Amino acid sequence: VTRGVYAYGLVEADRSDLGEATGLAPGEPLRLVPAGPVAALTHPVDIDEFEGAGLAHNLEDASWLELMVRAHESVVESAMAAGPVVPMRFGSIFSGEPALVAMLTEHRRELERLLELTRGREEWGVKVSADLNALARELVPARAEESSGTNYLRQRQAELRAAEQLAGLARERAAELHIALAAVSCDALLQPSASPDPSVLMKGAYLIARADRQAFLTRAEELRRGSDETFRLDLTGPWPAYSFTSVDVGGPRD
Amino acid sequence: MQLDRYRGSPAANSGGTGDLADILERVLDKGVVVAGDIVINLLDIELLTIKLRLLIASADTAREMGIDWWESDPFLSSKARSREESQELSGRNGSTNGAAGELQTPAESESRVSLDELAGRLERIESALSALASPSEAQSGQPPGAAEPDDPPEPSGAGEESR
Repeated sequence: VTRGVYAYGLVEADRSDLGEATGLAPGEPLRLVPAGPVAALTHPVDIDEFEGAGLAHNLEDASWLELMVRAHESVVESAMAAGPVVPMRFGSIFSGEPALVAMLTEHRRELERLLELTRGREEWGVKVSADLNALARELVPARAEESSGTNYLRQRQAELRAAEQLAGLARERAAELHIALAAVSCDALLQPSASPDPSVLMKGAYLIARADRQAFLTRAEELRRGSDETFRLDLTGPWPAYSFTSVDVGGPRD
Repeated sequence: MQLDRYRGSPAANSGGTGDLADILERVLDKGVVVAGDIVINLLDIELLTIKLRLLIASADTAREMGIDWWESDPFLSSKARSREESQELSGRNGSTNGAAGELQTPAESESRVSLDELAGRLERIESALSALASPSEAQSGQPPGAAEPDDPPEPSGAGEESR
């Protein structure tokens, strides 16, 4: 068994409260690995589970990843309650503490900046969606009973045209929502949607001061009420500031 | 549409699956990346994420996604009228959306609502859209048709609710 060091995220080195989460190594206490003012929140892990044949085997089992991902998230979230935390991407495993300390030291400046960025702040996610195709079908009245091919095609064309026009309007509306939410945030990002679901119009991430949470939520509620019922506005949070700490601090990947 | 549950999406998803999708999106795609000393192969993770996303989409959502996706493509929608063709398509698309197998002809199960209802609804949409098309609204903090200030939402503490 090869042991490695799994890093969940970064916190201030003088932090004493590491949160309650058990993480990937239940039974083992979380370990703080400091380098200057920044420290990594870590657990020892079995590297064989994360590479080669062991990983291939684990990846066959969707529940394995779910378990791991939830464990990662629970540690970062739990740490968030007691001070700034910079989340690391899932699977940040080091060969040992010396390698981790070397990384922390080398990128100290950038990591400190990120830590400051997350101080007193949290991330919220907003997804705006609308089932425009269903709406278009409703808007184009069904033609007679005859089910001739020509009529069917004409019907479909009308529906598609309606859907296109609606999509244009809906995208504008979604952009307005993003701007309005960004106005009450410290920072905001539109996320490129990889979703195959065409009803998703916009996905945004918002970094807000914890003290402004109420104002942000109130604004979201106002925007929701100002929208037609066709639009769905899904809000998630508070999250660790994942979307605002997507920084690549390494050398070339092997 | 609800705002009183801050984790995961309301009702439509049960069992915290929406929650998992949200977590995956962040934990696998974002946060600090340290290259060089990472054991796990990020490509493997990406492939697995795709697989997982399909698994966590509920059957209904997936079917709906499949239909919408298919219908929004004019080429496919004008051709794919027979069941066989549909199945052929779903097979072809299986690599990107394995759950979209259950395609149906679009009109067959639609229940139509009355024209009056639709006209009213369209009117509401249009007025909401045009009201929001004016850029000054974003700053004013009070879009027309938005909430009366005397009736604010009460999300206090709701953020902790799911913890």
